[in-house]
Amino acid sequence: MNDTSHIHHLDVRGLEAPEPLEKVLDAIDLLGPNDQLSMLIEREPHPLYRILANNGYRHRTTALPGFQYEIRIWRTIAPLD
Amino acid sequence: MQRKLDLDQSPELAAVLRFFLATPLFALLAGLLLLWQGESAFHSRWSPATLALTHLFTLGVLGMSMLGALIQILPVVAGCELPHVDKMARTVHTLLGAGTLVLAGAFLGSRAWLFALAVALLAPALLWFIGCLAVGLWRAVPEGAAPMVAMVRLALAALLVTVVLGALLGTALALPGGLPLPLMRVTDLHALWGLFGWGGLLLAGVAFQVLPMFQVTPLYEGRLERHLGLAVVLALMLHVATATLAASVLLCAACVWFAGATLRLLARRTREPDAMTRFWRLSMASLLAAVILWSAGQPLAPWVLIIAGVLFSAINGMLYKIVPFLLWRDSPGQRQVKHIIPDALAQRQYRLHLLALILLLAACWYPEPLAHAAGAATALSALALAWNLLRACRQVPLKIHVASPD
Repeated sequence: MNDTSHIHHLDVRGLEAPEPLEKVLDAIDLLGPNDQLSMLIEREPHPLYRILANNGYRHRTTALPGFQYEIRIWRTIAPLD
Repeated sequence: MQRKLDLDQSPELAAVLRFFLATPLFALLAGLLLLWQGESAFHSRWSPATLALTHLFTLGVLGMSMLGALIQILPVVAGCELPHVDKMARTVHTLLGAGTLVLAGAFLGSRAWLFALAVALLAPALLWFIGCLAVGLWRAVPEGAAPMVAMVRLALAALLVTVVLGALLGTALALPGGLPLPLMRVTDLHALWGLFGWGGLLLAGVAFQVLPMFQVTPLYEGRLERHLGLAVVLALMLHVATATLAASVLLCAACVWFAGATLRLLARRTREPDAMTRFWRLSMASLLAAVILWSAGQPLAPWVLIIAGVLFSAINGMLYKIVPFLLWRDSPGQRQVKHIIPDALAQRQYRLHLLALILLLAACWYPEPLAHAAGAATALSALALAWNLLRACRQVPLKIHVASPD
């Protein structure tokens, strides 16, 4: 298992739905056990939170100026091979 | 790793897809009916062909999509848990489809027993739907979905009024002389609450949520989100209280406010307009035109614009976003959503829809030369929409194609 951790960045501002969802789901598939994804988005993605919770991920949301949000996402269970 | 979306609160794909696929089929039926009946559908609001055509559109075309969209969107966007949603969706879809056909037949054949049957099919279906959503909407919703949900609650209340008035009218027609009702007055209220209350409020509520998402526009201003619904409901209540002038002024002002705000937001979109942009622009332009023609006292054209221009255009445009998303969601490993229905195909169907709308509107003034052409164009546009949706379904290896009966 890889002990190093990385923060991956994903900016989905300005994309049409459901492209942000497509991109974040592709990105979290690639997260290592200690990695985090930092996503920038223009509105709070409530539907994504339920998808993350149902699929073994946790998140933390930080509201930024100008109705923007940073969502930090990490795994709570090890990925399947 | 293969992606597997677990949207546990979403209804199963087949439960909602059936509503969206029924929409072009009822539009096709409406077009064929107009092709058959011709100018008689434009002679008066009260002719059997007009009433049959109106209900094929409002229940079959608009109703199917609006019910399907709510069943799909509320669990995903607002986290609502709808009780027994799959069973409800299947049953309501069947009853609504059958009830709409029977009601159209009742108007065309002037058969009392058919009106009774239509009420027996439609009223339980729509009341079940309203009850199911009322339970789901009882609980608190995420802050971001609050403006949409507030409008949906008002729209559902308006749908309840519409259904009760419609059931009363159907019963009066099923029992001639047995239920003394001021038919014209109740019909006006039924149409106003149905089109502006149920249809209009739902359209605005969905726009608050989906236009910024799908069109990458700024958010609607908070004042509009907070006050539009109350303004429309107040206008409809004033209509009930026969304060017709005040009601009409308030309703027209609310329509212009919403249409203006939406057109301004769409104008701030930086990308090339796609099919949904064009459908929504047409919808809002139709709303402004309907207000002008209503103010000028036109008897038929404003209603044609509200049904076929405002509501159907917006719904048609939304189908090109909702259906591909549902297919993508249920097919892990599927290609990008935007490639499931190419925008060029959607834009081609948009042009057919625009032609049909222009002919329908022009037939209000020139029914004899144009009614048949309007019917043919409506049917052609419906066929193109059906083709685009079915083509997308065929391309995607859907779970529903192999699902067991349970």
